[in-house]
Amino acid sequence: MLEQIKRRLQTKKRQKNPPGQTAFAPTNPQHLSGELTDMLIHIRRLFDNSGDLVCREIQIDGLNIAVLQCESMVNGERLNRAFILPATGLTFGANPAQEFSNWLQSEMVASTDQAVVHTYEDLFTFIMSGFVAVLVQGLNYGFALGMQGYAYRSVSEPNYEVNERASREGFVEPIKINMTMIRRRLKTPKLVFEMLKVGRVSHTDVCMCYQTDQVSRRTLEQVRRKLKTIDLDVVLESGYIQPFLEDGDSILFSSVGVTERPDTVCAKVSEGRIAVLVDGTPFALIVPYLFVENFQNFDDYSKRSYFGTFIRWIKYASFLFSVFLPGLYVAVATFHPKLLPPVLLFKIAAAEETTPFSLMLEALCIHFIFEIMREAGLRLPRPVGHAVSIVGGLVIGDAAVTAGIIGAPMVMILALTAISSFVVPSLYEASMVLRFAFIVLGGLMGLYGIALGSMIVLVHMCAQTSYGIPFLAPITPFSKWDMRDVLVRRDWKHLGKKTIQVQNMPGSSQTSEGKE
Amino acid sequence: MLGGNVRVRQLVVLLLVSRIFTTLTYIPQAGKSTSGLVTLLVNGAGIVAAILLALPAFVVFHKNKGQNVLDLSYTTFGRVGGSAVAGLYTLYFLACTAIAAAKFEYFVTTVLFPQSASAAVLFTVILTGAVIASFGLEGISRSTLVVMAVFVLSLAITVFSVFPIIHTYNYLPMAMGSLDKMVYGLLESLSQTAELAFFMLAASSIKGSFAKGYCAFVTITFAGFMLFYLLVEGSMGIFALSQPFPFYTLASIGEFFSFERQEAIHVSIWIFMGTLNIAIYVWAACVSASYWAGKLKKPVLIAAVGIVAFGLAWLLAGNLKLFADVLFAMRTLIPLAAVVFLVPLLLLVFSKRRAKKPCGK
Repeated sequence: MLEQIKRRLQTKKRQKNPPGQTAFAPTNPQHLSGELTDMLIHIRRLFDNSGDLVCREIQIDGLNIAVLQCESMVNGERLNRAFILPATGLTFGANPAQEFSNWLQSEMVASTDQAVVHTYEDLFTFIMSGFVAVLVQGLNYGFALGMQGYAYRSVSEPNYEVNERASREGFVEPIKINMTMIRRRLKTPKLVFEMLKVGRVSHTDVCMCYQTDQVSRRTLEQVRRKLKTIDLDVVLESGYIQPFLEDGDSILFSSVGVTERPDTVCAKVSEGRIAVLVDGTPFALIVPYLFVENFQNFDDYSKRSYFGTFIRWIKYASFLFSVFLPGLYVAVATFHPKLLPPVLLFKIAAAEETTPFSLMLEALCIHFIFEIMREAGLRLPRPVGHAVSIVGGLVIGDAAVTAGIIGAPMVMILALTAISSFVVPSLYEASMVLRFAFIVLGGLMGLYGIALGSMIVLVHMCAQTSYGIPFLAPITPFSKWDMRDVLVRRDWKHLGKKTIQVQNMPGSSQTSEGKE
Repeated sequence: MLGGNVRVRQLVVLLLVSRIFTTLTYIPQAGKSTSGLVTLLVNGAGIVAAILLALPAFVVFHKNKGQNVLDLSYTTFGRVGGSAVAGLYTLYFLACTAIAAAKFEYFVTTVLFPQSASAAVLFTVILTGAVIASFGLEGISRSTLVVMAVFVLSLAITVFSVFPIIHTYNYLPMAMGSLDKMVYGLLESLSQTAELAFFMLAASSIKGSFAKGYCAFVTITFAGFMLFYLLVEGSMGIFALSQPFPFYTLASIGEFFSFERQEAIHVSIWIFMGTLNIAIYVWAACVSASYWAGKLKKPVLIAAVGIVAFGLAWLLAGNLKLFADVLFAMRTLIPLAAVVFLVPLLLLVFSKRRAKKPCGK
């Protein structure tokens, strides 16, 4: 009953405010009238006399023209040199408006990025994207000239995906620059950028990037449909749309990858994946995304294969440590002490003898405090950030142990867990949640509880899919060929023998063209 | 809950994992089965008997690919008959779940936590099994590769640990076996072959040959029994018969370099298999129940099956005499035969009769 009422209310709300509709464009989009004064009055009213709208009215050989822009978003020098100066020298015949239109569309070469605008909604979108809008008396359409000149962060090394031997370029906020970074690396006409707008109010530019000869059509259609049905007012970061792209069964682990690197995007796109770029954020989304990809990064492929394999195994071990180590320590020390060698057992017993709390409580508290410190370290300004490490080291590492509140072995476990969790940062969220869960299970039920919890997590991961591809492929379902880049990192002479297409992974319900 | 595609070898590995747990937690004193080298003969006969039991099912599923036993029952016997068969399967799998959970509880409370409440152990394991079952057959079958890999590693360590203490003089000679014990042993191992019923229920989801998959499963299972016997009796001799869980004792006496008493690690791995063992029966009971209680939503159905299974398991765990009677009833092969032999046979007979009837009559 409650569900029915909710559904009816949602339907009514959608009918009142369909996705894609804005305050500027109700059900019927308003077309430009052709009467310049009326158009300018309407625009100023709709803009609510906002201070950043710059409107310059000029007369060229008796023809009234208005040039509109958002302040500081346009390259003023280029506007003057390429448009204003040439335009002011024009002379017209019998039909000045049409002649001006012809000149602007055919002869003016100030900007290759031009569009003809018919509605106020489109006009505002272009103006707010840094275009110069030109309205002409007598024409019921306008022009948008791409002369963006807004300030943006320069291309720099990505913060969250640092590599020793790989490109130092990371994505920036403007989507067009990100697109050029990808295009420079994949010089193939099969690489396609499909533009969309998402967000009822923000009209954020979103781009689907894929290779037409590699991508699965079904996956492409699914992603396109999901992006078009996003029902949000504003989209300011790729994280806003990430949940919409995930499969329904993604609870712990995301089936959508995130990257800051254009070289990573190119590698993924060439394997049949789809990258989703969002204007205003340097983080691109990748679908489909499998669990094993969390352990792959560019350094693996730049170094020699034996070293790449070794690093791969370090990452696997680090992930397992970060998830299981505290829980196992609590379980073994509390319920199964006979598993420990006697000397180690005596040391642990001596250290924990004076602490007032149980091992489980100690582990939960110290890990919680660590999360607080980590979060504080992220938010603090850099000059003050060092204080966090000093406080953390002194308070937890020394004072708490000396005071007998926590045991020294627990601090060591915390340190190893924390360092291990940073080796695979993309799995940090999941590993943190699982870590706490296994501490509780280990503290309450010992290895029995950890075994039960592990089984649930394992089967959940095995049941999860990413756009029809099993999330744990190619581990299970097993593929010997595809494991050459999972358990080991074979050298490029072997990796390059056969083109990988993600949709052809074992157990996949998506197939590439011609194989369906 | 059905649907999805499972490769037949994934299903075989899943059922092997489930069956291995039953073997590892075998209690010699619970039955009067045979011991000694004659066990090898019994296991060999077991392979043949298990395949013979499945012959009607082979024919049925060879003729009707892409359907499971309940789909065929509804098609052949009609709504009422089909619901009766679905009800029979539901009861059978509920019984299997309860027995598996009770055996698991006995194992955990004997080996790991002697002081713990049996209700707590039953609740946690059935809850885990129900949660796992809710992920579906595809997810469960994919996870078995990882579990099997971990178990094989654990088994290799155990074998390596006990190899120095295996002696041929520990094996009881064949002449010590008696015919009635051989028959009893055969019946006991056959009665635990509920996996055939599972195969029949999952037939619509299998990609591959039903018959080949089942034969491979049976052969590997009984070969596994033989290996188990050779290891246990070869290292402990007649002492193994006095142990409640001989393989557990084997894991605890082995030494792997300087590591001793590793049984807690091995048991944790066995618990993976134990939860899968219960999860597949819960899944099967839910799927069977969905045929006659289809209006119930999936979470409600799983919860209902879990609660009933918990109740039955608690009854069995709390009353050893009742547990022994139930195990005896299963050993008579009547429930198993009804589910895996009689139903397919009736399907064959009735489908032939239906085919013989002229159109319109």
